Amino acid sequence: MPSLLSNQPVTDAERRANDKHRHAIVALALLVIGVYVYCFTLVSAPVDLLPAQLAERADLSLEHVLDSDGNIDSTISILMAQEFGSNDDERLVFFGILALAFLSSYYLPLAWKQPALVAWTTLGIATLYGVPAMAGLLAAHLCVFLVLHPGRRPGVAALVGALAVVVMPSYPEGPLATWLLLIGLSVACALVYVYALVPLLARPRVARVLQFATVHAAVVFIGVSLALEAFTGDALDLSLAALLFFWQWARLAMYHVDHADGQVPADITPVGYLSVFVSPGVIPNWSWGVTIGQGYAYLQGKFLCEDKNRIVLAGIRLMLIALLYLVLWRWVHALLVSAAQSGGIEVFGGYTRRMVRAFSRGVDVGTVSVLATTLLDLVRFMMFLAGVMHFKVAIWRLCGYHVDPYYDKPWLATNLMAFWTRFAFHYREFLVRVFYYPVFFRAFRRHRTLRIVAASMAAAALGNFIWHVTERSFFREPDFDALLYVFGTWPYFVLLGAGIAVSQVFLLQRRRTRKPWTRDRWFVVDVVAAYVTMQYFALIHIFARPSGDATVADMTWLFLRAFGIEGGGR
Amino acid sequence: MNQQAIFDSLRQYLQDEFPNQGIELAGDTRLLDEWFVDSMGIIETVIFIEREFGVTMTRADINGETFQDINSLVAFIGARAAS
Repeated sequence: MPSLLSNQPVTDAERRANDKHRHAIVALALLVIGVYVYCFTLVSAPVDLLPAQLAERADLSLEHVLDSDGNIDSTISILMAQEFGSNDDERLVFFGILALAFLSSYYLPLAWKQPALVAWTTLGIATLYGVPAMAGLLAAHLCVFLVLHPGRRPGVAALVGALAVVVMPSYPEGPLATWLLLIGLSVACALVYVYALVPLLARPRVARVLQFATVHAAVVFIGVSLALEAFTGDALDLSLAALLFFWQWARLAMYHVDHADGQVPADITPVGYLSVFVSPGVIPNWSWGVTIGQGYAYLQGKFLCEDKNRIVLAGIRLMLIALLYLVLWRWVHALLVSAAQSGGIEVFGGYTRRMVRAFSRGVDVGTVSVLATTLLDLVRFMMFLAGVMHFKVAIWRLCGYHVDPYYDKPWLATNLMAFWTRFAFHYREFLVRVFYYPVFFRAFRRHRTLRIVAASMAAAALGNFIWHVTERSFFREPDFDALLYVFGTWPYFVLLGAGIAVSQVFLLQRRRTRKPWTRDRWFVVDVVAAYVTMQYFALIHIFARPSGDATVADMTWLFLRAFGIEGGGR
Repeated sequence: MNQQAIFDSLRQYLQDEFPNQGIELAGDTRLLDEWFVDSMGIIETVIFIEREFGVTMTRADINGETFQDINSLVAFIGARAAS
């Protein structure tokens, strides 16, 4: 299996050999995109063939599958797009862009494939989020490019100035003044870059600080905003362009690691850089799995690394699996909840948050209820995540990148370490390379157990926590309320980090003697281990689902009830 | 420990801990392309090397040259042990 740390980049000659057309594959991919268009948009409404209308004619009951406007209720969302009235229309635009990007990356000559993906995604972002947001996102990325890859690039710096004019909320009156502003700002940016920034970046220490601050601008921004709020009482406002850019913080951090490891070529072009960040896979559900695709080295190692038809077929297969999850997850969850309730188990609709709220209000919750509710909530979350993540990986594959699965049958994991890998592979890779590695190679070098615990806590607890702070901040403004909300969930991060550390220490203390799920007398142990792993992960989500006025003490008592320890409640 | 013993020990470890069906692990098998699945596999191998051969590895040693194949790892361990 090609690794994430591959040091053998695919050559252009190999890519050309893998670039053979098969029109039947193209037709199949377009057909599957068409199925998505039918299921998740209102394109069939004018001819009265919406999924709900078809189901009615066939006398089918599709409760928990259809939404109120007659198509299939979808968790594929185009977040914060402001140019359209409904997410159905936004999805339609996105599927159109995806089809065009797919055709371009499939049929265009090798040199034009990645630039075409950047171009279609730019058009898609401009259509969905508006031209200023698109311009701001490009300008921010070009700034990162200029800081990470300093050189005499006055043209790129001038483009940043021009894009900055597009972002401006208002222009001076008259076309002449606007043109003067455009030219003036472009020239000023080019001069500042060449004569001020490039000389500064020639100093290694200054370069390191500037590059770190640029890459981690999202986290720096949160810190500055909180400091300002402490002094003035008001948090900073965030433009959509900044939001889109900050959401790529994890991917930027991965790019930065690749850059530090010398895996990014010194002569990389702006389009080569942008192909990591401006690709169709970054548009839908960008709050989920933002690290898919990872940094430069990984993506370059995956682009046309084998016969492109096999890559596209793998994408089509994943799109179909995703479709099953996206269509059926609510229905399956409702079925499981109904089965539990028929068996006399109170599961609070299969939502941990509802159970936490009920417990904090004095409802007595038994051990079986805690176990069943948290497990059902995890099953819901897993199905939801599977649909979204398979879809996102499938998009990359349609565009020619053989990206590894983000989500890979987590129910087969027999320990928390394996579960973490199978549940959120690319996100875990981000946490490991950005947080685990630096601690592992610096702290407690002479004490192996402490070293692993410290590195695991740095990744699964601290890194995970910081990412969740950014997530919460950028959706609800970077203010103290957002920070306090995530702080309130601290036991979740600690228990996850501790669980992963314990399982890693345990695994490292013994040599592997058999593969899990081998059909032998230890098979039952695998089943029990898989259940215990999932149940633990489900239970710690009690702390990640604060609700109403539930305190950490309430959630702790509820957690302990899973082990038969009574106490707490009101 | 001589180079052959290091080679045998490493090969046995990699085969046991990261079983890859259908691929024969040889001295020149490209580890980063054909053997490891993810970044944690590297960490586990670092722990094994440090424990088994008494050498210290740094973040800078996690690169394509050191981890190219078993032969390069054996050379690295030999050089680090001698220094």
